Amino acid sequence: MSADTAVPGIGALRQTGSLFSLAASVVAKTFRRPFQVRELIEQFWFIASVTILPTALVSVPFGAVIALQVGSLTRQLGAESFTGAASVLAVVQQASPLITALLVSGAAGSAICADIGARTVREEIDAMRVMGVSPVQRLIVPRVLGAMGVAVLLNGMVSVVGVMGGYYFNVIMQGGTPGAYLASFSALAHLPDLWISEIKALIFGFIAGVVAAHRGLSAKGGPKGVGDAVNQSVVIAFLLLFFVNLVLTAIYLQIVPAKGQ
Amino acid sequence: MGIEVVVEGLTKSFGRQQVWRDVSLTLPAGEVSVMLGPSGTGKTVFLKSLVGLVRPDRGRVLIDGVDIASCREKQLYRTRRLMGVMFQDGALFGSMSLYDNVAFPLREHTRLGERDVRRIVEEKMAMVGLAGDGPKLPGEISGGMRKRAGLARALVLDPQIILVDEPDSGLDPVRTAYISQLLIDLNAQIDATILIVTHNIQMARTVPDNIGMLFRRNLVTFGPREVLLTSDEPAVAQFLGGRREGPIGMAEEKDDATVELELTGAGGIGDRAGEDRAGGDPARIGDRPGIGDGPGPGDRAGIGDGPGRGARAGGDRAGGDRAGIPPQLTPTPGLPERQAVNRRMDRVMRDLHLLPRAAQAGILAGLTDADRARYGIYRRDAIRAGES
Ligand SMILES: Nc1ncnc2c1ncn2[C@@H]1O[C@H](COP(=O)(O)OP(=O)(O)O)[C@@H](O)[C@H]1O
Ligand SMILES: [Mg+2]
Repeated sequence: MSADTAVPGIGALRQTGSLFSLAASVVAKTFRRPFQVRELIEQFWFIASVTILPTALVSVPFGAVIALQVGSLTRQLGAESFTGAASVLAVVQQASPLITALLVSGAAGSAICADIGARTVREEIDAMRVMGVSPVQRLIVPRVLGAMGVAVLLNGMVSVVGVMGGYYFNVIMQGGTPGAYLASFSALAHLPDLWISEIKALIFGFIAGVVAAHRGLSAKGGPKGVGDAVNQSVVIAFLLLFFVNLVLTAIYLQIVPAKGQ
Repeated sequence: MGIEVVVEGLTKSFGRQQVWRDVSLTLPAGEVSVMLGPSGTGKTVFLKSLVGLVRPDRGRVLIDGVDIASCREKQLYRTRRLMGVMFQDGALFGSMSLYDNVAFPLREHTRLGERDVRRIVEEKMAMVGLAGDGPKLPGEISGGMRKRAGLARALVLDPQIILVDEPDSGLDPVRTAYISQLLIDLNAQIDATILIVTHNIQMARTVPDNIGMLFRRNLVTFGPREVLLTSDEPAVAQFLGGRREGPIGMAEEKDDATVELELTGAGGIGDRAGEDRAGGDPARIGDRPGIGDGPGPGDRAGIGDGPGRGARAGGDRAGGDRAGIPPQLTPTPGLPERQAVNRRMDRVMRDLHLLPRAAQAGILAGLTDADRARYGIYRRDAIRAGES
């Protein structure tokens, strides 16, 4: 830690480095025995329980907003027949993974970070290391895998709820025709759209879990330190998620040709 | 037998703050050592660097041929299984009961069945006086109990090296005495190398075979207990006496100017055990009235603050007074003898000529008749005369 003050920005660089090395060691230790099955199930259940309800509550209005906006836009353009497909694509590809990511990092990530941070300042993590048990393998891997799994599930849920919400608002509120709505699905959307959505969710879950764990492990200085760590964890995770989303979207649009072209 | 821990040239800084530099010492295999030091001198950091939780800037920590300070993670984890560490606050897992905490290392590192686990855990918990407290959660018990549970957890794998961070703080004097006895008994039973980090003088006087002290970013001394207990080093003497006068201040350290004034004012604490043992230098004391808040040594004998140095300076030589070196704790009757005692005595007697005079005198005065026969020292008076 010496010479932190010598070069401006070196602290941030070092943090970035240790974040990546934690990510690498999470990946490596995922395949190391003994695998912590019980902890994984507990964490999966815990993360699911803190995220499902808020996600469901957020996804209905979100799907509706997109449906309304896209609906009125397509009407302006005279492409009403594509309303269904357009809003489904928007929900499945963008809205759903991001909602999932925000909730996983906001609700689950903050809980993970607070838990790991409290253990760090109470020296539980050090004690574990001293007893020859790797905290990454024992605590972090199950949490990150749990976050990834829950993210994928939630993403599926948000997609379905969002699409249903879109259908409701489009067909019932805006007076669209059900047949056209459904028919446009197959005209514009295809299976890879769902895959990229799930892959995004998986990656976002990983990022949210690793960032939360990383901030938690570097918490110091008592309860105040844990609070700071949670705060940082949420902010950093959000920044990273939006950036990675941009990159993934750009790559996807490049390599997978859009249907109907 | 326990494993030797060799520390060479260890230096550690946090940012610009140097904690200590160039610390070199050897914790002899199977012996009990104490690291003393005022609060904030980096005792905990030192202990953590012995287990690789703190990576030093420079230096080596050799345990069983592995350099803890620079080895790879895998080796680090393997070497750590030889060690049991009790942290300052116990560092129990808050979500587990005491029983599960103590059982944790067994479940992680052995394939013992639940019945064997229970037997070992209950034995260790009884050892630290927590029999029957297994189902409690760490949040529900006192700091002292957490500490003792932490000790039980550190002992459960029968480690060859035991590191204990301030076993006494947060404990009442009676419990501290029990913990002291427990550590000595442990050493007798499993012959482990033990390092106790503490600022408890009573513990330092009676428990260890070797004592060191950290002060002002340096290791002041480390060696056989007699060396530190008879030391004239101002910081050491002040610390052992628990006095205000001396280089140790309320803040981490007094600033150098104050100390200098005090040293000259007090008639040279360092000189005192030297040849002029009367009353310091009256002229010097007279020169600086009221500056040194320490009364001169002559005064001190009059005030009579127990086995202070005023009494000792002459006493050591006069009549085999051993006020400076209280007898060491012995294992509870019924337990085996501590093998460390003889090993240490052999080592100390071999290197006797290298030690300061006061320490030599103390060691010789403490020999039993059997010891004297063993090391071929027949005429106590002759030795004594030769010394002074
Ligand atoms: N992780 C850390 N980061 C920065 N400074 C630290 C850290 N750990 C300890 N220190 C500093 O090192 C010094 C020694 O601390 P410590 O070893 O806890 O003292 P002791 O145990 O002797 O009371 C203190 O000044 C403390 O502030
Ligand atoms: Mg300490």
